[in-house]
Amino acid sequence: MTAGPLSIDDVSKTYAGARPNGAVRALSRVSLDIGEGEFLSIIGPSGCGKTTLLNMIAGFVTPSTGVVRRGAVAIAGPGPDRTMMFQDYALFPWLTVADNIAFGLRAKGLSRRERETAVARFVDLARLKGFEDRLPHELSGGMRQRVSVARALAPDPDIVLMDEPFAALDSLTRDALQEELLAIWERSGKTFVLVTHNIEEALFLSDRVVVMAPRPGRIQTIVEIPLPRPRSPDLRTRDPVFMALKQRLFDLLHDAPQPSEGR
Amino acid sequence: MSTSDLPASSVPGVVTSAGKLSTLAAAAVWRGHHLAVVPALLLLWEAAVRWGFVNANLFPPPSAILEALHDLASAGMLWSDLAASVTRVGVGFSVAAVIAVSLGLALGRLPALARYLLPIVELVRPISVIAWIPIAILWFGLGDRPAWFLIALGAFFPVFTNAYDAARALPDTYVRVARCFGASSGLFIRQVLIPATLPQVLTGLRIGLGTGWTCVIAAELISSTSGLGYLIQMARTTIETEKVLAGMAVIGLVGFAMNRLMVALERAIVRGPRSR
Repeated sequence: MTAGPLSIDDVSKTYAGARPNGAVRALSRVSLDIGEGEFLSIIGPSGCGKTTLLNMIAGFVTPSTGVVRRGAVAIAGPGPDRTMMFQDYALFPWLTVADNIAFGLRAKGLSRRERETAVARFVDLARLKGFEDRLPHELSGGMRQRVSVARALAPDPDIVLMDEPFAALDSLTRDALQEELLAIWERSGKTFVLVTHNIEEALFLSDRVVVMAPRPGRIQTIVEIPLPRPRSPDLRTRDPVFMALKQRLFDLLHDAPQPSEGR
Repeated sequence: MSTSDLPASSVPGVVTSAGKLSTLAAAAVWRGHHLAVVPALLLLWEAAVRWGFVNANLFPPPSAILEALHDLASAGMLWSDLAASVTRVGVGFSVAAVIAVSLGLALGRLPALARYLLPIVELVRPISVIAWIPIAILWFGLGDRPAWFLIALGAFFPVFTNAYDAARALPDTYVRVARCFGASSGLFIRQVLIPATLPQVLTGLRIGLGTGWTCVIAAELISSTSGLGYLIQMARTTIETEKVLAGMAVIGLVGFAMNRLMVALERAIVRGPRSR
């Protein structure tokens, strides 16, 4: 089993185009270290390569040049040490809530008893008690999202990857689930990597926000979020530091003139 | 779904006058009017024969066919031939189902292999099962074995095609989820591939069973000495037209029942939003 922090070392990804000279540079010379237990967000406009970067960490995409490592070991493919919460949840519609959550546990080869214990724990954690035998289509969007969280956490990964996990939710549900996710992260000690296009979400949750720019996809800057933890929902509307950071990220994403960044 | 299917007339005014009740009854009769088409046609046919408009030897009336059916049933021939045909389909279809589902799902997920094997399937598919009868007799002689072969062959293609298409169309997201969690091939097949493709596979099986049922009759016409196909062929040689038609009616009814059974099975097995 691999262990240790993630390091993305001078990684580029080029997709061959349909026509000659049609190759697309999805990522260009990206370097990034992600500490153990860190909550890191990646934000940027579409085409900036943020999802490609996430998929690379997951092991779905291999770099054209450069390397992604966990500790000393290069990531060669998906592994149960890194699980993912997919966009639109990607729950299996034919499996019950309990079976969806148990999927990663079956994949790990846990016994029936071990699975049942773990599922019960994560059903509690995700506040899904009483819905174990429901199918995903019988649940609200917020509950599906919580199943997705539970499924990703149940196999006890070191790193949880999230691809716009809150994109399909209304803003009230989104706020509530962000707070739940934050509480889960704080207790888990795991590394969370979130891809989002929502500035406030990135800010509220993260230790650092990686701002990416498109054509070619690259890291524009990395913003430290010095807000103390645990973070209260009040931050979003009251905290002057939060507001200032929000303005700064907004400007970065909208290419406003700004003081030079260390990169 | 179910509430919107309720006839509008039965919802309001349950407690009403007798007059209203009779209009409700009339509405109920009217709603079933499409079911009257078959009996009406049969009556028309009966009348046409009795009034001498058509030749009773070539078009024996429904009453004569019913009588023939009764004779065949009480003599026991109908049951033994029916059992022979149904058993043959059971064997041939089961063989086809196992091979065609596994091969279809496998090729649907393994495009590299599909590139080599699909051309064979596409070349054999246009050869009608009828065209296989001579070679089936040469290979297997007469009796059950050529019938099993022909049924399996006929049932194979619709089952295979549906399984293959369903496996190929499996959303990439589900594959990624399985890979992300490190699912083994066994887990992937059991909890992802099979449930995801099940609705379309069941449709393929239903169509395949129907094809198998047409094939058994074709096989029995030529290469068997029992079964419904053999029954109508023998009745032809003795010029008992009403028995030919009685046999055909049974073939039709059994095929209809098989289809209904498979539809019911599909509804019972496929749960979730896709069952609608």
